[in-house]
Amino acid sequence: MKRNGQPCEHTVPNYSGRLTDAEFLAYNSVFGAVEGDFKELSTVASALAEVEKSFSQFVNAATVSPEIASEVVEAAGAKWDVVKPLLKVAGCEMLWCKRHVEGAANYGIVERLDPDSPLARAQGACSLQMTSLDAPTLLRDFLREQRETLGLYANDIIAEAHERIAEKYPGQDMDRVAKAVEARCAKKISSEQATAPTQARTRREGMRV
Amino acid sequence: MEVATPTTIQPPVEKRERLSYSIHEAAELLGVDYYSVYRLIQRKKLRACRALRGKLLIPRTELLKLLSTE
Repeated sequence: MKRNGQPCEHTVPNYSGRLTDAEFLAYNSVFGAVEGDFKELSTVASALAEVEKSFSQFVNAATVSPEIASEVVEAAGAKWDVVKPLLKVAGCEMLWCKRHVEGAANYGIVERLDPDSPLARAQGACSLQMTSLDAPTLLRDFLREQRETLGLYANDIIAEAHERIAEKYPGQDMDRVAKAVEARCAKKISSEQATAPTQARTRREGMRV
Repeated sequence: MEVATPTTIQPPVEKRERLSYSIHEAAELLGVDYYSVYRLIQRKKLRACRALRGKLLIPRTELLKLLSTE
């Protein structure tokens, strides 16, 4: 198969079409420019997939865990027992937490930042992100929100790719290059979508301490 | 014969404040990773706007607001 007189013989990950020599070179150049972001996107997507896969273990760890926590964090004026870390990226962890209020278990997601970061110095290192009386609901809501954030991240990577194409290849038809980058990002964030939408019983919080 | 030394004309140095920052720049200023900046946007803790091709930009005022201790 030929396009503009050039054979289309190059394949790239997650894209069903074939690229010409010029498109393939452009793809490598454009993808190279967004590769750092793509790697971070992949790391977060894999970590979320891991939580989705071990969903019941995470729920059990919170609901059937021993009463003595290995670590306690303070967020929104309350002390929370850390059950397990959910997600860790450079300078930030999302912690799966619980505490007892008047005999009832309350579950929470606490974000803990590197205390030396300018954001932590201004807003506090720990912030309560969500709470619920129901552990599975909270975990599902957390996963859904992280998937939405991944979508935002992926869209920005694609926008960056479009910008690079427009800068480096003005007036050239590089539509397939953009589509190939889009396909690769879409594939990365679409994996293992195990979370179902739930009733809005989770409270969103935002106060840092 | 005296040869005049060409003088380079320096443009007046203007101290312009940036109006907005990329996600990478914002992450560096906040001391967090890129994903955390997207989380802040997703949770509406940080307002972002879109550039011509859809890339997200963070207004300087938004970053200042977040970095303010008050």
